[in-house]
Amino acid sequence: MVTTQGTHVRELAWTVAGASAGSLARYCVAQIWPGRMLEALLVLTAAAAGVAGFALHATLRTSVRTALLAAGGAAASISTMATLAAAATPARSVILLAGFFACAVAGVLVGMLVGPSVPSNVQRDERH
Amino acid sequence: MDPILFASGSAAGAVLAWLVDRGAPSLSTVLALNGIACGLFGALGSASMGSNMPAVEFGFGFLGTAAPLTLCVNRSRAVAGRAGIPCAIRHLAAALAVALVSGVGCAIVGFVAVHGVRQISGKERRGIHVGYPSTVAPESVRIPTAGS
Repeated sequence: MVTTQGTHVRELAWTVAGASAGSLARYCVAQIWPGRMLEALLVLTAAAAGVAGFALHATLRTSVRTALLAAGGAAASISTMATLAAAATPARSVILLAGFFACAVAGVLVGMLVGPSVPSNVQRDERH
Repeated sequence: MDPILFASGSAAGAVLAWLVDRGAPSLSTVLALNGIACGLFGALGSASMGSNMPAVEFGFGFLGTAAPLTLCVNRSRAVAGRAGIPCAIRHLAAALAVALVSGVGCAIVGFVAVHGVRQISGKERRGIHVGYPSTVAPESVRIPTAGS
């Protein structure tokens, strides 16, 4: 029971750390390139989705997998993109939604395909 | 200061997303969480227009991280090997499309609701009667015709 709780706490900590890093990446992209925010966010989405797809299929330590999934998910936030699309002009809104959808799906697909071909980084059994 | 608040909000949103994700949520649960986050995001965006309150950054961080992409991906975690990838991608595409469309709708509803309340309260503060939607009676408008 204590071990299970410890595992959950560790998983939550890695999730929070990864998600904070991913959302800060999104924040920095929006701050650094305000004029090219749409394009920069789409590139970030593709990269983040790739990271998430990679983490799903690669052989990784649980902590690394959890952090990568959280970072990829937070960087490619659905609610942020949907709200940006709702506030944009119709043409930009369509471009943003279609681009986000395509980048997210393609990124996850590429990450899943690449994941198993990368050598495992599990060096030892994890002791929880 | 703003990035710290944004990161704090993101951490809180990550906790919420983790709690939802832990219970193996159904698609309807994912869509409900995404819709609520988008609606609140739109409402916060409308409410914070013209103001520069630091707490807004916390809210943006929280709501942005509460509905991550991985909520739609999670079902494919159990997929083992390359054979299951097409099925997982199909499922992701369907869930993501529905989440995006419903999210845009909820964001618009949240934005318009707060904007409408602000407009009405602003008019009432200026003493304008808001009982009727139009202040111009239809009969007073001259419609140009071909003869005139």
